[in-house]
Amino acid sequence: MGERGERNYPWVGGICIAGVSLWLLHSSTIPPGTKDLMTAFLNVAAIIVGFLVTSQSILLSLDGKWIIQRSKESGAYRMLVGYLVSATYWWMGAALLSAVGIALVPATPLPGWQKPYAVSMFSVWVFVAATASFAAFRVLSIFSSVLKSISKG
Amino acid sequence: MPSQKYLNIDFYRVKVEDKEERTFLSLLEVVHGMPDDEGRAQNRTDDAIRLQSVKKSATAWRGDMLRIRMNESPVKAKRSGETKPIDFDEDEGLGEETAFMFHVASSILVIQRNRSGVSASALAKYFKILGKVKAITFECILKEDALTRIANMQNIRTFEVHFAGVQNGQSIRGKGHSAKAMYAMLDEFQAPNATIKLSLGRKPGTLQNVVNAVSDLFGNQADAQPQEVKRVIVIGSEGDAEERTLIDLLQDRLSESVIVEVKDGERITSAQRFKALNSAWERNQTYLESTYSSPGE
Repeated sequence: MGERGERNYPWVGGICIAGVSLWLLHSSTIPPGTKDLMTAFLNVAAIIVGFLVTSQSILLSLDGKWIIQRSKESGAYRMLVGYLVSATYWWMGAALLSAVGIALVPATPLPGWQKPYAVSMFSVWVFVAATASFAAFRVLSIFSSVLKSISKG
Repeated sequence: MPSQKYLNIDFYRVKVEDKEERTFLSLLEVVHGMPDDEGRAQNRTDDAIRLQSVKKSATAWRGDMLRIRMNESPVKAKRSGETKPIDFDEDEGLGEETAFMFHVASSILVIQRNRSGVSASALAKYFKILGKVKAITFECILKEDALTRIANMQNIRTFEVHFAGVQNGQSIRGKGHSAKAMYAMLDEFQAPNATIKLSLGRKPGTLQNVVNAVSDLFGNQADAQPQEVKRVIVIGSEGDAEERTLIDLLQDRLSESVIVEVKDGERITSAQRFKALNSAWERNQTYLESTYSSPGE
């Protein structure tokens, strides 16, 4: 995968998954247990935002390492920092949308006229959640390469 | 009082890839036949290069390439520190000449190595563009004794390329690599030295395999080997002997140094440069002609 692929695959993946979700649900309604799903996701999002902010601090503490110096010269470091910041924003967005979703999704079944709106809103949430997941995977994958390289000495 | 300067001369075998199977000689003829004006110049980012002059003989073409540095505005300076700008017109710059000689029968290019002049790869690109051919490759030529030693190898066991550890990440910047790929590359070359070793088993090695490998490795950058490549080694054995023969292809590339006497304050003249090329050619003429000239030429 090249630079462009790496930069764009989280949101492209997010659109694909949201599209599939929209296609599956367009004639019905949001799945049962959506409220629980969003609650669980909000908890995960809070943990991951915390992890990403910690990762940024760890990255700063590695400043003197050989691989960090070389990656600054090559531009890889700037890309990694960009991905870290982007992943943090996506997860904060996912957390915020989940909180809004928890508040809006009623405990009782939706009336018929609300269903298309609910499915659309749910697909937006799926897009943000999937993009955030891919963005976190991207950071984790690169970050683990850096740590492995440092551990080799 | 005259001082001595060294002119380094490199040798390459020229190969042209073209639908119409044109040779480098025909490209020389095409470019030489162009009007001697701006049309003969190839503009590059910071400079322009052009075929400046050509002298034909029955066996070889001798010529001068000119590099015109357009991006720098040097100053005239005195030892006292007084400086004056040198005014150039828009289409003017500092010129640096590079002499070359193309031996027709063997397709061998003998070229002066001049850091501030036209490099062999730049010359290849110039003729590729102006001659409108698919590719021009300059293959390195090995010294006679190295070639003989490789030819005597019954088995070429391994082919090794040694890289120096990466000291600067700039070399992989802006090439479209993903961050993950760049970290993987940096990790790979973190060690002081990295080695790529191709084990060829006991298959009889042919000279052509080695020549092809060297050609693939350096391609048109033949004039300036990639800085990271430190050694290219062929290891084999002669006959059934278990004793191994080791050849470093970088050290064993054919090049010559010719001493030129220059008067104080004067530049090396065109005649001196061509004389140096001739001298370098004559030192290796028998070997090169017997090895590379086509039969009957």
